[in-house]
Amino acid sequence: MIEFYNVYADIDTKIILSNISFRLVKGEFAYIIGPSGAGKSTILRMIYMDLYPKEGMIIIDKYSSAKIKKSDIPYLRRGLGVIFQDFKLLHDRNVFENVAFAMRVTGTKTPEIKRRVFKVLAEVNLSNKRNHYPDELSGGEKQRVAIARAIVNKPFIILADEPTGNLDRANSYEIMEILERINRQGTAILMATHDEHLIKKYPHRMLYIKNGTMVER
Amino acid sequence: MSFWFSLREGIKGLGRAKLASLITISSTSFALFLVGLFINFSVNVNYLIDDFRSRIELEIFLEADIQNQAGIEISKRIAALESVGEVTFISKEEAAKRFEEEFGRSVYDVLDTNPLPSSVIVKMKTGFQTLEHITGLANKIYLIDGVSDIVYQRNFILLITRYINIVYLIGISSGVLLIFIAVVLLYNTIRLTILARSDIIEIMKLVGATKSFVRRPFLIEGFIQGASGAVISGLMLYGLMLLIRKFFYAGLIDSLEIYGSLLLLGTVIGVISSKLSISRYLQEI
Ligand SMILES: Nc1ncnc2c1ncn2[C@@H]1O[C@H](COP(=O)(O)OP(=O)(O)OP(=O)(O)O)[C@@H](O)[C@H]1O
Ligand SMILES: [Mg+2]
Repeated sequence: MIEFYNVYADIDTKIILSNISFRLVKGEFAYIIGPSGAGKSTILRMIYMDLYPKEGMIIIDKYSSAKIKKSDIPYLRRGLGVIFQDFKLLHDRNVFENVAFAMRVTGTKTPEIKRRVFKVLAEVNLSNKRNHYPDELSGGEKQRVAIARAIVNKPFIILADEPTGNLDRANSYEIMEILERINRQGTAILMATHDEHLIKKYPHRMLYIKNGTMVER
Repeated sequence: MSFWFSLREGIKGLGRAKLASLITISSTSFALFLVGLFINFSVNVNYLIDDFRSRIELEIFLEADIQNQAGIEISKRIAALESVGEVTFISKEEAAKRFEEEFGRSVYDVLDTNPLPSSVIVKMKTGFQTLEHITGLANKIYLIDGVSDIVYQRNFILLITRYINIVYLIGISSGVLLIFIAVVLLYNTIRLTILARSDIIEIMKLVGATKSFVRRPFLIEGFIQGASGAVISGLMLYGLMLLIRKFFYAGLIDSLEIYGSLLLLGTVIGVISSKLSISRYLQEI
């Protein structure tokens, strides 16, 4: 489902990652860990093909980095849900519209959008806040909106780049519980983090990056 | 419906980047106002030149011994020539009358006989009012028996011909320049509105919007900005025309076509410049 074959990555001619190979199967939950600047975000960016490998090959679902056309990338991304430390919500629209946005962009009809958005907002416990604006929400609530937006198009995997990085302990646990639940329903999760505490509390497979290479731990 | 989504996003975008949109619309109106002034100026100069041209005529004097009957025959022969428009025969008697009207004295006061020759006044057919055609025609008319002299305002015609070319040259180059300035202005101010909304573009791309889908709200925005700029510039132009007509020159003409072309130009420039800036932005990131 996600496969890295001897992948090298560079940014501005600086080699960031060397000879990375791993495979993630359907419905798996894995962490990418490592010190700051190790290249965790870089791996996630290569999965949603914001960055191409310098060498090697990446296979995501039915797309290969070696053959994918630029015009196919939007369709690849519709199968992925991405969340970030800084939430990336649109501040000029309410919770409902933020989540609906991901479906409008793919041309879904309004009744179907309503049905799906209500459902995912219930899943992240935000049904009662659907008319609120992001600035009226706590950090944990904002991240839950971002998760709702990530799952609304039923992706096969969630890519989470330090989703708890801006949250306190209690909110981090809440986010983890939601991710665990989504994972139990069959969606794979690949999460970059350096929160050792969370990793201990919610143990999963770990891909450790250091000095540009990856080891399983 | 994705069209309505794009339309809504386009309009929302105008509201989100209020200042930038305001700058865009006012600079568009300014540039289009200049373009409109220029179009109007050209139309009026053209009109005046056409008017001058229609007054170009040749005066053909016949030999003094040509009588009216023969004179009419000659004017018929002239009328049959290519490039000849209206032809008027002036008999000896009419010439005398004109003399009297002009100088207040009759020729018969001084002389026993009328010394004035009969003549033929020739206007050129429209489209043949150039020096080349006029000289060509004059050469042909000289060959006709009974013609003694041909008079026309060679210098006046030369002046108009030269003047037209300069006017057209200035007109076309300043028109191109103004349109170019308008595109550059819009391109840059639309970039401001795009930069103000890099977050929405980033999110659109993340959730799998196609390039054309990302582009569409900005094209609609450009369309709206260009059209509003055109409407404002049209109103300003119209106001200015009213003032000029009232205080300076009542003969000033303007037409619906001028305002129509401003609107068309504004929307086309708006869409093209936003297409250029959004495409460049999407390429950069
Ligand atoms: N846009 C960029 N321009 C230049 N260098 C970059 C850029 N993005 C990342 N890098 C470099 O690439 C390396 C890996 O960055 P990356 O963001 O993947 O690290 P990370 O493991 O996610 O770190 P963090 O835990 O701090 O988020 C770093 O050395 C960083 O300096
Ligand atoms: Mg990172």
